[in-house]
Amino acid sequence: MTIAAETVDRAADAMVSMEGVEKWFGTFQALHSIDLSVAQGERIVICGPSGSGKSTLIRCINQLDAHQKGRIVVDGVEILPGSRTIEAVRSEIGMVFQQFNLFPHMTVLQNCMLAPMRVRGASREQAEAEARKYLERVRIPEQAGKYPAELSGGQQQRVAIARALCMHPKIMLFDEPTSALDPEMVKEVLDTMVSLADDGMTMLCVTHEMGFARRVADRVIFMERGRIVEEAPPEQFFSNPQHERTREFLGQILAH
Amino acid sequence: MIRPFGINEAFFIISAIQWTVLLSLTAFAGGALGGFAIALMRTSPIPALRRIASGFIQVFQGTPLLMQLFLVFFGASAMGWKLNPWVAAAIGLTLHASAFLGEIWRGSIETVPRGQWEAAHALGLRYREKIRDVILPQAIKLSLAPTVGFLVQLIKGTSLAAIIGFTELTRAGQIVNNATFQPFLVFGLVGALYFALCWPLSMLSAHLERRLTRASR
Ligand SMILES: Nc1ncnc2c1ncn2[C@@H]1O[C@H](COP(=O)(O)OP(=O)(O)OP(=O)(O)O)[C@@H](O)[C@H]1O
Ligand SMILES: [Mg+2]
Repeated sequence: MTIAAETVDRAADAMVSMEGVEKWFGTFQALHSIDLSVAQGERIVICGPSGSGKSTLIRCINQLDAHQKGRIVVDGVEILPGSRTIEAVRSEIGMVFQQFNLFPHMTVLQNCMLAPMRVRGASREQAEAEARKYLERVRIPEQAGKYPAELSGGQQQRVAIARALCMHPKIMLFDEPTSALDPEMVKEVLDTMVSLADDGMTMLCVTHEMGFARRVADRVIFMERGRIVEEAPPEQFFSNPQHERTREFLGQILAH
Repeated sequence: MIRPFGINEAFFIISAIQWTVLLSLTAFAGGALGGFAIALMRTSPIPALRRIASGFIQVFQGTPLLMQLFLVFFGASAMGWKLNPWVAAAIGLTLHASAFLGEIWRGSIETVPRGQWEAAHALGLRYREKIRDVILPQAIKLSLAPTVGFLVQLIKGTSLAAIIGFTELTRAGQIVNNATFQPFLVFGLVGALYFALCWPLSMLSAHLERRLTRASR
């Protein structure tokens, strides 16, 4: 009884809480008993080798991938796989993908206006005003009338961030947002993310940009083979990693 | 009682084009509705719907169109309904077109990258909005060329309605030929008329195809 009540309390405080989350793809187990709690306003960076389950972890939070065991609670609402109300939860969670995934048949402005109008029932004027505000915010207001294909990768990714922000998400998930970018465009996207963090946005970022992690993360998480292996504030994570695998990984990633 | 092939005979054949066009358009319109439903079922998150649609497609792609027309025409009369050949042909071709258009459009829907679905999911759009605002506008572009290509097949397919007694272009040709015994002239004209209908559409389809490959580069 008391344990159950405690669990609920902890979950209610956290913006995201994962308890004993397990995920299989067929017979392959991609996540092993994941426990993770993200407080409001907290910034977490997740890193780890390819295939370690980083994407799967954050995709379970908005159920792009459904988990099979354990509990996921987002802002006090438990996420149940296959639930009919999943759209309501998703609309509170912003997500930015490695490949941007802008809608190619819509202009930048339309990309940003679609969900607020359809999901939130915003009027066209409201949605457009908001969209322009957030395009300003990611510093590309002048591109509003263009189609995604006419923009550089860095610009597209900033539009994708603006599109997510237009929904006023309670949390933002980033899945390697700079991995598909040419090196000279990485900075403009990271700068945008830093400024989001400075505004107090709750963020979960899968990234290997360790400079970004040092600068904004409250906690850095290292994953391997579907498990959270190490979890620490950045100073400690980088200067004094506890696990051999973390040290190896950092050695590889900081080498270049 | 052999008649010469004259202006009246030619006119009889030419005016039968209207029935070929009408039958094609009816089957295409019906097939568009049916095909849309089939394509949505085929790509639906609900397994039972996917299976039903897939069975429907397999049956109609795996049997000759002529058998499908026979089944509707003779099947209906065996069950006690008297369908006239026009209605039977329209129903048979509509079912046929539903299966083929459904399969073409399923392919187009599935060609839209997964990331588009995921972005739409992540924004909290509901199924109807995902389909209408995000997926279909992209799928339609991809499907235009093969859809027009199928319309050409459908127009040619209407000639089989002649066998269940519907007087469209081909059957008009048969009637005139039975009276005039000028098969080369008669079916030459019939063929030329089909060509006049189909060729511009084939060109259009090829043009759409080229425009799409250019746009995707
Ligand atoms: N849809 C899927 N079906 C089957 N296996 C999958 C699927 N998605 C991911 N996996 C597997 O789950 C494991 C974790 O994948 P995930 O994409 O979460 O890794 P990741 O840490 O994000 O890797 P990367 O750095 O390459 O993006 C991998 O072994 C992957 O092959
Ligand atoms: Mg990944």
